[in-house]
Order: sequence, then structure tokens, then C-alpha cells
Amino acid sequence: MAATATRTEQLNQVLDALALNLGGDVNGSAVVSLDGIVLAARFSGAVNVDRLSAIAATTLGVSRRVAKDLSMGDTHETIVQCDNGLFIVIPVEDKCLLAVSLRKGGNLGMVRLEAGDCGDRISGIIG
Amino acid sequence: MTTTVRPVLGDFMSTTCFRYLRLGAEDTAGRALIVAAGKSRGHSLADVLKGLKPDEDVAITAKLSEVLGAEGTRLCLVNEIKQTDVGYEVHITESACASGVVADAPICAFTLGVFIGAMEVVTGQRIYGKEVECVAFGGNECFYNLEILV
Repeated sequence: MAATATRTEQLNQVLDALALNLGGDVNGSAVVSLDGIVLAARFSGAVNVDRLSAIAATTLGVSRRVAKDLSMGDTHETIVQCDNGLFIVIPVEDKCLLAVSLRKGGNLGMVRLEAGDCGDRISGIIG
Repeated sequence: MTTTVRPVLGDFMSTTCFRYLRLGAEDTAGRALIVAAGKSRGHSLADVLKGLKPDEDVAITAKLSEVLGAEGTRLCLVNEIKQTDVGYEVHITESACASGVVADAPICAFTLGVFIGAMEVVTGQRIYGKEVECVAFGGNECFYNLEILV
């Protein structure tokens, strides 16, 4: 009988499915606690995943602060648009966040669709 | 030659200033920034923690008590670090994070980060941490659960 996958392995499977469903658009992705601790990640070795996770959580924290101070309601996503791509941070309920790095020209609409499904799966795994 | 060590005031400052730094940054950007700073401090203890094995609870407690406690940087009193099925329990009192604060949720973001970073050094693995009890939140101690991510 196959051993049960650990939580990290299950989260990595979600990230692998995300990359697969979005073709070559995804540079990397991570599931991160709201405290900025990386729970699972699929980035190249050149990326400091611990630091990126802390930055992603801080980005979400700042976005939430903006939304609160301007009475704009809940934050649904934060996007950093750069010359060579997009970095997207999406909260998963109030449990954790999904951070995705997209290549330049990547399909943001598809990411939003896929991220919704990913969020449901991540939420189920985190509990 | 100039020095960055303060000749009159020395190495220590009041928790009042620390509190404003922490809570001000947290209020603007959330806890992750502070936890990351704490982790960085924990990682900086690599030399001190060198040679300790992950199952040496008592030795780890003693070493972190020496570095962070009354004879060290006075971040907190380290009472016990105990191995569990999934990682470690950390029991501390007099945390600088909780000093002078009454909160409606645990508030030890920096101290939690320090222990996450330190235990990542000891175990060589990533660690997720959660505050279970906090003096600022009405507890008798600050108590963290650390989970090794596998």
C-alpha cells in the first residue's frame, strides 16, 4: 500500500497541477502561511524561497492595510506588474496565501480561474 | 577610529522603543515582516548552536537560554524546549514582545520567528510555528508549537 502523502507533498501536488494547467506561463509558485512561512514551493533553486515567502505575506499585509484604511473591503488579490512578468498574491480564506510568478504575457485570467480551484484544494489540505 | 558600540548606553534599550518599532511595523505591513526578522536572528545563532542534535532538548534549552536570556540579549527567559511527534514545544516567559502589552490575540511575532530560525538551524529543516499561549493574551507563559515541515 502506498504511503500517505505528507501535507507538504499534497501542497506540492497542487502547485504542480497549477503549473501544468497553465502551460508555460508559470515561473514558480508557493503556498505560504500568513506569517510568511513557506509551506510548499515550486521555484528554481536561484530563488530564495524563504525570503520570497516573507515578502509575499508582507505584500498581502500591506494590501490589506490599504484596503482597510480606504474602507475598500476584503483584499482578493495583489498584483505586482513588472517589465518581465507578474507576481500575484492570493489569500486562501484566512489560512494562508498562494503566490504565483507569471512570465511576461502570461494569461492572468486563466491564473485567476486556476487559483480559485487551487485555493479550494489548499484550504482542504491545510484544514 | 569610530565605533558603532555605544560607549555610554551600551547594547541595551528599553522594551518601550522595541514595542513601538515592532507594533508600528506590524500595523503597517502585518506580522510576516516581523516573523522574518526574528527568523533571521534565529539563523544568526548558527555558530552558537553548532553541534547540537535535534533530540537534545535540554542542551538546546540551555544554549538558547544562555544566548537569549538574562545573561544574553534578554529577549526572554527560555524555560523549556521539548521535542514532540511533529517538532517542538517552546515555553518562555518575560518575552520582550509581550512586555507591557495587552492584546486580543497572541503577539510574539518576533520571538516566535527567533525560535523558528534557531530550530531550523538545529534540525536543518523548514519549520512552521504557531503561538498557542501568550502572556499579552492572558496566558501564564508564551507557548509556541513548532512543526517540522516534511
